[in-house]
Amino acid sequence: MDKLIPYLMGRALLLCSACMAIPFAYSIYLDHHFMTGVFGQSICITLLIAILLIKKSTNPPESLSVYGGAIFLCAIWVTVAFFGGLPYYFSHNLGAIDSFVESVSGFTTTGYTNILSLQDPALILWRSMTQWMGGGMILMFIATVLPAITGMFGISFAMPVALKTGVVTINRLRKNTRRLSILYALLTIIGVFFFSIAGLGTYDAINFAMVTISTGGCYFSDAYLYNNVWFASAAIVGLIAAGGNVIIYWQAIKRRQYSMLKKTVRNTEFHIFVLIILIIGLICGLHLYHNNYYNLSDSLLYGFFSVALYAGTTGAPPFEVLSWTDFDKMLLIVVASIGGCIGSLAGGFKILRLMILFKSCANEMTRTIHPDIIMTMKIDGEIVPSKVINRILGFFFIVFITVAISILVISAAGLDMQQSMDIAIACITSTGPIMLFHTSHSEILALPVIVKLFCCFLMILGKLDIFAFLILIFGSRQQLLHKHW
Amino acid sequence: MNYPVIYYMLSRLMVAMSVTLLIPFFMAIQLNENNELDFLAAILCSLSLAVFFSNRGKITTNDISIREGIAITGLSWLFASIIASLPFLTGHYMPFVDCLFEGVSGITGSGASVVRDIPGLPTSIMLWRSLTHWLGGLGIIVIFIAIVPQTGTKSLKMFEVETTGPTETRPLPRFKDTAHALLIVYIFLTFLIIALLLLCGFSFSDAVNNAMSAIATGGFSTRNESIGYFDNLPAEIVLTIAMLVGGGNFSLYLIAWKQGYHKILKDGEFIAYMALFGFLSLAITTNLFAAMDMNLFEAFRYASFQTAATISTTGFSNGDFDSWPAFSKYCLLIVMITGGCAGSTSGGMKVARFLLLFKMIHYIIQEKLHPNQIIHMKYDTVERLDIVVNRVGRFFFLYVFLALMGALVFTIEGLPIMDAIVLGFSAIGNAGVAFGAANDFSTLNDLTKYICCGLMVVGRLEIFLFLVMLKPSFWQTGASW
Repeated sequence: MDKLIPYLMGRALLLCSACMAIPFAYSIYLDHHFMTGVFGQSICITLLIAILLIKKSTNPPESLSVYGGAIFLCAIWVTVAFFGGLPYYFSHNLGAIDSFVESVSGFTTTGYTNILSLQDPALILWRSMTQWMGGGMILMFIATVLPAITGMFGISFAMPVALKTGVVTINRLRKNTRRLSILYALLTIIGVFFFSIAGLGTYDAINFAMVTISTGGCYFSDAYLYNNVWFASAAIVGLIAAGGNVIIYWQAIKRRQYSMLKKTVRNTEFHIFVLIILIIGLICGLHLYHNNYYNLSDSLLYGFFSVALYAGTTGAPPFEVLSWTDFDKMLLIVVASIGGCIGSLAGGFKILRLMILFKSCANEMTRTIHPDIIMTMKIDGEIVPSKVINRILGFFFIVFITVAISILVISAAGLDMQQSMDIAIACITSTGPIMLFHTSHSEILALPVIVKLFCCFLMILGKLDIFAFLILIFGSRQQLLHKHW
Repeated sequence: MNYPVIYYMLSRLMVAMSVTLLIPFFMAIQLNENNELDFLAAILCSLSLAVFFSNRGKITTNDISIREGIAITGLSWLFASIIASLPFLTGHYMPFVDCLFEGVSGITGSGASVVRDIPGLPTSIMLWRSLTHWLGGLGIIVIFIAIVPQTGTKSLKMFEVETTGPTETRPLPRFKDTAHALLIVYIFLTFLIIALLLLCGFSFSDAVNNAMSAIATGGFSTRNESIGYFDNLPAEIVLTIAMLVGGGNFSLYLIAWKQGYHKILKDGEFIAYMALFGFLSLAITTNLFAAMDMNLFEAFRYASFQTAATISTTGFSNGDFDSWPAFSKYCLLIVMITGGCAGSTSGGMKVARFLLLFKMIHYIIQEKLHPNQIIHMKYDTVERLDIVVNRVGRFFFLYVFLALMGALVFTIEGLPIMDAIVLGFSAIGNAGVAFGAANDFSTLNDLTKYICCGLMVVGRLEIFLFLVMLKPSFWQTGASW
C-alpha cells in the first residue's frame, strides 16, 4: 500500500486535534472542568495516533495512484470520524457506536444528531465544528483527490483548466489545502458577520455560520425566529453561497482574477439552482397557505426558507416541517436529492449532472427519429465530452441501485417502507432531518447496531462519490487476483 | 410525415378491434345478459372510426419511415385504449375516468382494476377485460401485422419500435414469418394454460380469463380476491409458471423451438431473470417466515407466486401482500422496476437493460483503474454497443424521473410518499400492484387515475417514442428529415 496514505491520514488527524483545541480552550474559558478533561483526553489520543502515523511513514512517495486515492478517500472519513467521536464518548453522553454515528453525521455534514437536547456549550461547539471541518474536507477533496479518482462525473468538467491535471501529488495537496482553508475560513467569517447583523449573539452566530456554510445544519437554538426576515434571508444567502460552485471562488482568488467571480453567478447551473429554490419554495409556501398552516407571509417565508435549507442539503432543524403534509415533505426530499451545484459542499445528485442528463435525453429524442445522427452537447458554450455523459448516466444508475439496496437493508430492521426510504435518502444526500419525517427520534435510537453502522457507511458513501468506493472494491479484488498487473 | 399511411394502419386497427368486440357481443347474446347493445355501440364507434380513417388513408408506397412507425405505434395504443374502455362506458358500469382507467389498464397489460365487485360483472364484460389484456399482450402491432399481410417490407421499422427492450433478436429471416410464428407461440401458450387450468379444476370462464391475463402478463382476474379466491395450489403453480413464461422473451422460445432447448439456458438475460426471481422469492420467503405467522411452505407459496406476479408485471395476488413486512414489499418493488425480459409481454425496465447498465458501470471502473487499457464491451450480438448503452442509461433516467414526477403529483392528492412512489413505478411499469393507500385502485382520486393512465401508456410505449411525439415538429408534413 502507498505509504502516502498513512502520512496523509496522520496529517488529517493532526488537524483534527488542532481543531479540538478550540472547544478545549472554550471549556477552560467557561470553567467546565469536566469538559476540559474530556477534550484533553481526546486531544491526547488523537495527537498520539497522528504522530505515530506520521512517524511510521517516512519518505512517503510523491503521488497517489487511483486505487490508493480511493483507499484514502474511504479510510479518511472513518478515521477522522472515529477520533472526532471521542469527546461524545468520554463525556458519557453516548455509547461507543452512537458516538461514532454522531461524529460521522457531523463530518459528512448530514446534521443528524442522537442527542436533541445537548446542553454543554463546548460539546455543542464541537458538534458544529465537526460539521464545519467536514465541509472543509469535502472542499479539499473536490479540489485535490476527487478529480483524479472519479472526477469524470462532471466535477472536472465544471472546473477551471488548471485543476484538470490528473495526478495527486503531496505538493499540490499541501498548497491547495492551505489556500482552501483560508478561503473557507473567509467564507465562514462573512457568514458570522451576516448572522451578527441579523441580530444573533456571537456564540450563536459562530455556530450558525459554521453549520450553514458547511451545509451540516445541526444546531438548535431559540434564535430560530422565523418572522425575522432578515435572519432567514441571511441564512438563505449563506446557503446559496455554499450551494454554489466554491471551486470557482477559489480559483478566482488564487489567480487574482476577480472577474471570474462573475462566473459563479453567471452560469446556467447556478441560475437553475436559484430558480429551483424560488419555484419550489413558492409552490411549497402556497401549498402551506392553502392547507391553512400559517398566514400568507409566514407560509411563503417558511416555504422559501425550508426549501433553500433542504436544497443545500442542510436540512432545517425546526420541527414544524414534521407536521406538514406529505406533499411538502416530498418536495423537500426531491430538492434534497437534487442537491446543490457541482463543486459545492452540498450533497445530493448535483444540478449540473441533472442538466447534462436532461440535455442528453433531449438529444436522444432526436436520435430516435434519426438513428445515425451524431450530436454534441454544449453547456455554457463548452462542449460536454461524450465520456462525461456516459459516466453521468452510469452514476445515476449506480446511485439509484445504491439507494434501492440500502432501503432494502434498512427495512430488514423492521421499519416500514416510508421510514426506511427516509433514512436511506437522508444518509445518502446528507440531509439529516429527512430521517425524522416519518420516524420518531426514539425509533432511530433504537435501531440495531448493524443498521446504524450501515447508515454511517451510507453517509460516507454519499460524500465520497459511490464510484470511489466501487473502485476500491474492484481494485482490491484485482490486487488479490493478480498482484503483479 | 406520411399521414395517409397512418390513417390506413389505424383503420386496420379499428377493424381488428371491432372484430374482437364481436366475440363478447355474441357471447352476450348467447348468454342473454342484456348488454349486447353496449357492445354493439362500441362496435359501431369503432367501425365508424375505421371508416373515417380508411376514407383518408391509403398505402401509396411501401415506405414507412421511423417517423410514421412511431406515430402509428403511439396512436394505436391511444385509440386501442379508448376503444377498450368503450364497452364499460356504454354499459354505465362506472364513471368516465374509471372506464378509461380500466381500458388503458387492460390494453397496456397493467391489470390495475377499479371495478369494486368483479364477479358482479356480466361474463361478456369479464371476457372483454381479459381480451384487452390478451390483445395488448404481444403488442397490438405485431399481431396486427401478422394478420394484415399487405404492409410490406418496411414494417420491420415498426417491429423495432414495438419490441420492448434494448436489443432485438430475430429468430427468422423474414419479418412476416417472425410475426406469424410469434403469434402461433402466443396462441399455443394461451391454449396450453387454459387446458392446464381446466385440469386444476377451474371453471371454463375462470380458466379462459385468467389464462389470457397470465400469458399477457396483464393481471385482471375474475374475482375480487384475485387468484387467492380459489385457494387452489396446483392452479397457483400453473399460473406462476405461466406468468414467468409470459415475462420471458418470446423470440427466445421461438429460437428454442427451432434450434433446441439448450438455447434457453445459454441466454444471459433469461438466466438473470430466473435468478432474480429465485433469489428474491427466497428472500421474501425468509422474511415472511421470520416476521409473519406462516410456516415455511406457506411462506414460500405466497412469496414465489407474488414475486412471479410482480416480476412479470402481471399483478395477480394469492394473498394479502399489503400486510407483509416492509422488506418483502421492497423486494416486490425492486422486481416491479426490473420487470421481465426484453421482447416479452411484461412491463417494467426489462432485465436486459439492467444487465447492460451493470456492464457499463463495470466498464467505467475498469477504465478508471487501468486508464491505458482498451476494453471492448460485449453484449449478445449488439452492434455499436456504446450508443445502445447510452440510450439505455437515458431511458433509465427518464423512467425513474417520470415515475417520481407522477408520485409527486399523487402526493398532492393526499397519498403518502412511499405509496405514491410505488404507484408511480407500478403505473409506468404496467405492474398493477401497489401498496398501502393505493392498494385499492378504486379509491384513488380522479387526477391520480388520469395520470396513472398516462404513465401506463408511456410505460408501454417506450418513453422516447412518447417524448418524440410531444414535439410539434414531429407532426409536420413534408419534413424531409
